[in-house]
Amino acid sequence: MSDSERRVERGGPYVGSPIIMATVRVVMPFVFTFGLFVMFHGADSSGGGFQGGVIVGTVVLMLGIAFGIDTTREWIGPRLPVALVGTGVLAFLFTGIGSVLLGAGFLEYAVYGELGIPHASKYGIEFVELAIGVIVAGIVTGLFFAIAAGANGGESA
Amino acid sequence: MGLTEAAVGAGIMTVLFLLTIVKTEHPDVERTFEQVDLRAAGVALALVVVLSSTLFALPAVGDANSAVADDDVTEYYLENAYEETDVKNAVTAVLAAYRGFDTMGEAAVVYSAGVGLLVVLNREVFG
Repeated sequence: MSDSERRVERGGPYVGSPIIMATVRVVMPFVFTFGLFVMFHGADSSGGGFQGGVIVGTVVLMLGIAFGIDTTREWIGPRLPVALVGTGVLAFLFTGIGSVLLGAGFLEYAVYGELGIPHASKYGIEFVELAIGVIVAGIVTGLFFAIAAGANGGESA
Repeated sequence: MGLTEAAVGAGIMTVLFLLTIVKTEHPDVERTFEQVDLRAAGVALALVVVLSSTLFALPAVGDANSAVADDDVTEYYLENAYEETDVKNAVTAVLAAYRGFDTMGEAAVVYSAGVGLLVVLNREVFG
């Protein structure tokens, strides 16, 4: 029983492996850059906010697996995922409401051209894709931390 | 689209399942099966029946005359997406511009998933 109790403790059976740590340290910047690339180039090539957000979220999962979930959680902080998700949803919403305020339909990006933004439709779509990416990355990170912490693990943040 | 499925299906779900297994305790009691909640099972079954009734409305697999292949809406998107939305990826044009409201709903669903998990786990912040 003591063995299973130890296993159920927060952080799980984390064993530091130099191979995994070194691999993640090398691979992580490239995966992060690839995620941002997919997010930013969603309008002109395959990809988009959902895809890029998932890939960026995967970076945090890799860090958690390699360096311990508790360490990663303390590094990121408990409020960042919530802030990211909230910011993303509000940015998407206000993009839509803003176009209505300018006299066009909901999420009709072309009207932002009146404010002097070149290629308003294209950059509007890019902005919304970024908002989606931020939401998805925050949720993936948050789900990971929340499931790792468990239902009654509220004693340490 | 397949990129998301690959990253979520192969990467993230594996990690989440492993975490859940680590968190799962082996019960010491004799009876490990819970009683089946008949009302919940009935609701689940009814949902399956209702959703299955839409199966007959789907076109046959590989049907050349299906609405996806030669519908007016599809043609319109493919012909006008580049001029109207200024992006080269027609999928993104449909997703973010023509059906932006639908995509906002999708983003809200993702948001609700996170909020729902926090409610179930009785927490206020992730982690």
